[in-house]
Amino acid sequence: MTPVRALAPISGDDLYSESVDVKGGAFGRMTAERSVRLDYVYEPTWDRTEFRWLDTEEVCPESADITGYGRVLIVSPPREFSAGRWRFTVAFELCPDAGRYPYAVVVGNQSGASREDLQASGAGLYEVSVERTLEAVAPLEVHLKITRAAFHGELRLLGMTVERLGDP
Amino acid sequence: MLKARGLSKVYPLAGRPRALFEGLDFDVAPGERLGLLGRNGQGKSTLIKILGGIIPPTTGTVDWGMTHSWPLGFGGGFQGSLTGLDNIQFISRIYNRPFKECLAKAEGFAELGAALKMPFKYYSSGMRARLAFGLSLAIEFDCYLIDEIISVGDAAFRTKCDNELFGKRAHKTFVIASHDLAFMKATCHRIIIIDGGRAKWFDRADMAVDIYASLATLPDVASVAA
Repeated sequence: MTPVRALAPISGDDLYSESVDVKGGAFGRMTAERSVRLDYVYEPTWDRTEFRWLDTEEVCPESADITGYGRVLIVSPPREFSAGRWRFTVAFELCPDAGRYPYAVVVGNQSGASREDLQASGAGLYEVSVERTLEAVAPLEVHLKITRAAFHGELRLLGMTVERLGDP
Repeated sequence: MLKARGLSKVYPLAGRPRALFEGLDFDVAPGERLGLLGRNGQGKSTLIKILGGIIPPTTGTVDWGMTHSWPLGFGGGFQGSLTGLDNIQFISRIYNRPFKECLAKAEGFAELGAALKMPFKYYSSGMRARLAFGLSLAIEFDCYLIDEIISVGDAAFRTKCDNELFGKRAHKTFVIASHDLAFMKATCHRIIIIDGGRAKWFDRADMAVDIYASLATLPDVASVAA
């Protein structure tokens, strides 16, 4: 993947908002086979410093406080991708408090998005993969969300790998 | 201005110290309404009692720059063997207020009638709350400490409390502990959530209520780790 140019951030769609379901019933898409704890040294294609922590609109810090509404925590730089099947794998570490909450990774643009949900199961390292097929060159942005309001916890973003899986 | 600095409360639990909260700093300005949210046993009432001077903190200080009530909903300030009347007289003397004026105001609110001549220990929880509440209104404080008082008593009592506190005394300062999220969201300017030995201050009541609602259905750290 060769980023061609930076684009304006996606806005006006549901990527920036998260409805909070206090009953906890709307996050059943546990992805055990795709959201696994890492047991190897992680080498991201895009490292942490390429992402923004949306609360502060600054470079994603090494460790960040998740306290607040269910919301988008981290946003990738918007980039343009060629036609094809793409896989985005976001890796992050959660402290014991942060390990109680549900998260989601969303990849998309104004014409649509793909999403994978993760119900964390304790402290540790996690990775979440999302695939998205592009029929033509298009911009894409990756968001890491916490999908419920959080009282306390810390998240460390390790980075993201991007793979082109093949033609559309 | 109420200033709390470095407040902590640690209890022994099964031979080990258990902190309800630690290093808690906050200010409450005149006219502000501070809410306290937390599940049962997390320390809301303890914090209210510390602010009211009923129990001491393990560490830290509370500086009151205004007069404050005892925690409404807390019957500890009343002597059980004394009648309601005697308790009113006792407390009016402590606060240096005219007894007859206090009696008239307290009775006007509490509507206990002949029961005022009964020993306080025979009062129901609703009667105790009415007397405590009526007396605190009679003395008139700058700040009212409220520990779930609104949930005591029937609908008429709640309406009366609401009118007296948040209608006639809307300009006063309040520190309120409650589980009523709609009430807290509508009433409080800022909120402290106490949970799992940690207390956090939120400048936005709507965010705090959202977070607290989320906590109620969240697994605790120990069960997730297991």
